[in-house]
Amino acid sequence: MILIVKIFSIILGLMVISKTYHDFKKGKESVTMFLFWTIAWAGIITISLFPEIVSDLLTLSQGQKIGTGTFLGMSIIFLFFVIYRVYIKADRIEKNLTEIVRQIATKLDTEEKNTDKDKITSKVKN
Amino acid sequence: MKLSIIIPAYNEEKTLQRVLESIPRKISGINEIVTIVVDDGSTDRTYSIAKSKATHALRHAINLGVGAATITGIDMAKKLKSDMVVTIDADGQHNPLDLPKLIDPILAKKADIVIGSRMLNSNNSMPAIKIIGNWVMNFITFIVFHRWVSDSQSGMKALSSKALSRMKLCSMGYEICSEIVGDAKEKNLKLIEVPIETIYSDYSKIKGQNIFNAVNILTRILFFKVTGRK
Repeated sequence: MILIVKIFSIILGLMVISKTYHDFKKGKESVTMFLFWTIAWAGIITISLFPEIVSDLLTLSQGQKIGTGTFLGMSIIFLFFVIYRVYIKADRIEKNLTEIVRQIATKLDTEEKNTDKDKITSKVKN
Repeated sequence: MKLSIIIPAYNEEKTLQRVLESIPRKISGINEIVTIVVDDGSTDRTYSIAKSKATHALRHAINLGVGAATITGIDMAKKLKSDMVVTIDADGQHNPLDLPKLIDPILAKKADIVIGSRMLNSNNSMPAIKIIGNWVMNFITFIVFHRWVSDSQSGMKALSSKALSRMKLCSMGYEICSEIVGDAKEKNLKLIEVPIETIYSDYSKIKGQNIFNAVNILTRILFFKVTGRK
């Protein structure tokens, strides 16, 4: 089971890193974002290969330990918060984009109709 | 009485012209008929056909979804001070001769929203997979909005000016059909269904919704319902 988790995280991590590198090469992503995702996923791969690192990290300076359950719970809460923020942002962008596209569509039609009217009026006058 | 017929269209060059030409020039009780085609970022000749055949041709610069295109059409209809609107699909599956069936209850002030139901038609030839998908969507709509309709995903609908002014639609995709049902209940608008004919061609069978859209629609309408976000 642990082996499957390791293989899965390596494949997923490498996929993300190659995608971010590809985007960076194409100029779609900044160097900062490329480095951030590469380091983050390299960290995830390292932890999946050597899970004992987490136990060491969970030991506080005074020798006290945070339970793995507590750590996982906090991670899930944090990830849900991130998802929420991303969703809200994406939703806002989608709404704004829709509004812009809609306004342009209506404006273009109105302008075109006005131009047609002007043409007819000038023809009648002539 | 001014009627606006809204046709959201995405890559419908094969059928749009026929749909526009088959719309009756005169309908009893209606003084003026306006056709509004909203091209939802098509990559084919949809927009040029719309420009030559429709009263108003609006073009989304990018593909936003059928819900967004419908709302753009509704906005335009409001701007034109329409007394009612009818939405029909651009794939040719609706029979424009059914238009009076949808309009009459609004003219008689018996309804604010009329849904053209394909399921109420005794000669319904809907493919089995679409019947199942439709039933799933009706069920989802009922669970979320507590209102049962026989064809919640019908693209042929009529809305009165009262409905237009009260409703605040925001759906981007196919969930707009369920949103209209939900909004009708929330805003105390009278909704009825009338049977309509459906013309199933190989083309219209490929187009339209598939059963897997149900998951998308469910997610969106649940989000609206839970958060109340509009």
